[in-house]
Amino acid sequence: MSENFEDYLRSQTLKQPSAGLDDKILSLFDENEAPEVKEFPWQKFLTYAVAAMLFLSVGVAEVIQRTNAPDNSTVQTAPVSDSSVVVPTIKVSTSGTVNPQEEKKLLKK
Amino acid sequence: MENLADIYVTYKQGLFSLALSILRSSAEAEDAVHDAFVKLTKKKVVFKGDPVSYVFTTVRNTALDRLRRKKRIVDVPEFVFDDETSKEAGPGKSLQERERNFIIRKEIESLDEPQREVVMMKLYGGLTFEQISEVRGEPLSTVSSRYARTLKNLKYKMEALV
Repeated sequence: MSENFEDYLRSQTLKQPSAGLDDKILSLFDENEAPEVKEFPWQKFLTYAVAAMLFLSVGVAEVIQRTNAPDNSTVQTAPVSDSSVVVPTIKVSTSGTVNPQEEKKLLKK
Repeated sequence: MENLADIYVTYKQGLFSLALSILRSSAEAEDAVHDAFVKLTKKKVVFKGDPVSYVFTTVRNTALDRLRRKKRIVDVPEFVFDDETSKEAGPGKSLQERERNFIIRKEIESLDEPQREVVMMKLYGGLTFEQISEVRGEPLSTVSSRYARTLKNLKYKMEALV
């Protein structure tokens, strides 16, 4: 196969992408490279560090105050059930009739 | 290692032509190239193989995805080659030469998909056979023999015209 033919085919002019594509794609690289260029934000870091220290000191002071304060809390106890009271039980026959002796006993009570 | 921006600048024509030969629409092809580079820059890819092949593979896959998702068929399919009648119809080119160019372009456009892709990447993308075989996931021998066969057929057709 002659190289001339390949050259001839290569010489055919192709449709070109618009300049807008270049702009769009090259801006992608700028966006992605930007974070690497950024310096460490010392000012932001110091602000957050001071705020965190203040918060911690307030928290520690409160814990110390609570541990030194006297214990004034009241203790609640559950009510004890009264075992002296007898609850009467009613026996019911499965046949549907009431035993007369049982009935008398219940009435006496 | 080659930088992504350098690869784009060097191969943008080949990448765009490959996407255009798949999608048949300049706007869609540009979107496919753009989407591919968005993916590449977001992923912060660490190239294991050849970076150029990797970029071409990403653009090709993105274009094929878009083609699958596309609901409506393009009314007037665009061609990969520029319209000769509008730009190159100067006095320097004979009518016969223009006719010959028109026919060869039509022949390339009407090649089946694997042949067209190999021709596009080799001739207009400037890729090596190794790189093309990586992009298409085919053996090197398949790619090189397909290219040789395609060019032989094209040459035969051209000679028959003269």
